[in-house]
Amino acid sequence: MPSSPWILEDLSLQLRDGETALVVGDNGSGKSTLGKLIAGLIKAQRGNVLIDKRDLPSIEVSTRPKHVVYMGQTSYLQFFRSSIDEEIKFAARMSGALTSEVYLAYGEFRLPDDRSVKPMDLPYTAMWRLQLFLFSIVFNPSVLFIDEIVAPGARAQMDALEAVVAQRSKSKQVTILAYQRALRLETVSGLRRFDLQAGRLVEV
Amino acid sequence: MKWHLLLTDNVDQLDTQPDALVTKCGLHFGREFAVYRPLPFVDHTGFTETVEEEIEFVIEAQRSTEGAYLSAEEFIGRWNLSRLVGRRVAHLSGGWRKFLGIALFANRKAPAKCFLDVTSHLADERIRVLLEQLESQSNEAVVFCEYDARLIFDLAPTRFSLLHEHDDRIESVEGFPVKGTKGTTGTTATTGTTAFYSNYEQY
Repeated sequence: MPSSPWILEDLSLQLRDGETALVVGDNGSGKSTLGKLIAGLIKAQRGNVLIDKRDLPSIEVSTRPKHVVYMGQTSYLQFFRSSIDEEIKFAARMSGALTSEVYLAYGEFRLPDDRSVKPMDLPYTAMWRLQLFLFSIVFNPSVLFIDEIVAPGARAQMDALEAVVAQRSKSKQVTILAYQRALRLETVSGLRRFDLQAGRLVEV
Repeated sequence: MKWHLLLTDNVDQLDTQPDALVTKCGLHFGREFAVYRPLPFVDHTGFTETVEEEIEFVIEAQRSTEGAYLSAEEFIGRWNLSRLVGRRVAHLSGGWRKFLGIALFANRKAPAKCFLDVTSHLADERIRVLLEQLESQSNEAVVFCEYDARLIFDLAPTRFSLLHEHDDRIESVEGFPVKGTKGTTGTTATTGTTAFYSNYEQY
């Protein structure tokens, strides 16, 4: 038993194919912990996570990105290569995606035409869109947890996010967004909102 | 003293050309600004481990240069950080880490401060604390520039004077220079570009 209070407790979240959830919570309420739990990056002390009807630990780590991906707040820590193009090819190799197909969607994310640019040299908002592109289009997992939406007041950010969510919903994939305010997603129907307070998740 | 909220027709500048934006502010006010520009999640000097150590380290550095408004002990109390003091900075949630960085920046006795993108990553309660603390300081000029200016404006509507930046000029305006109402995608009266687009449910 932990000596400190539970970060998440009595928590149950079941999402069906194509659903999108928005988890709203204060700073430090456990949104990132929830995302990491769902993606298997940390292990729950009690309870379990099922993805595609399979217990998460039974899914091999090497194939896990096809099932579930956690898009963290620190975009710059999730880049591994020295150019956007190399980053895309690296992600495609990891995920088995065809680069010719993923390039078709690249333009929708308002990223530089010149893909020799270093990911770390991008403005932070563009870094976030590159990460969104890599995780949603190249990895294209059944469940995508997007932890923090960088600058949703900037139009390019929300346009990219809404397009991703709408496409994933159409493809019967699950998207979970975590943010500290209740966002409105104009092009997404049936958004389920949950409030995370005192370690518990309540559907609003 | 009122705080200034800088409304810009091109919010992308916040990320792509922050230095140019701050330079325009400096020219408008005829003074140099200390700037808080978040570099997300590196709001940590790296020389310390716990929150308490970080606060003591940074405030000591402030005292030896331009000065600090509060001592470390006062700072912890006034910014409601006492429950975090023993925790490692690296283990804080993203929002709390950013809040700590902003709070320490705000504690500098720089006479003119410019905050870029305070509202990202911070819940409203953290922003309220920031505004309360700024109220108690003797700053000569404080400017905020946000992706969604309404978000911070609505937390203290009577305390902000509005500045509108367009065509490389900054001028005072009475209201949000946006056609349309809250909750709609507005177009600015001056350039017709989309601005102050609000994606929050409360609008």
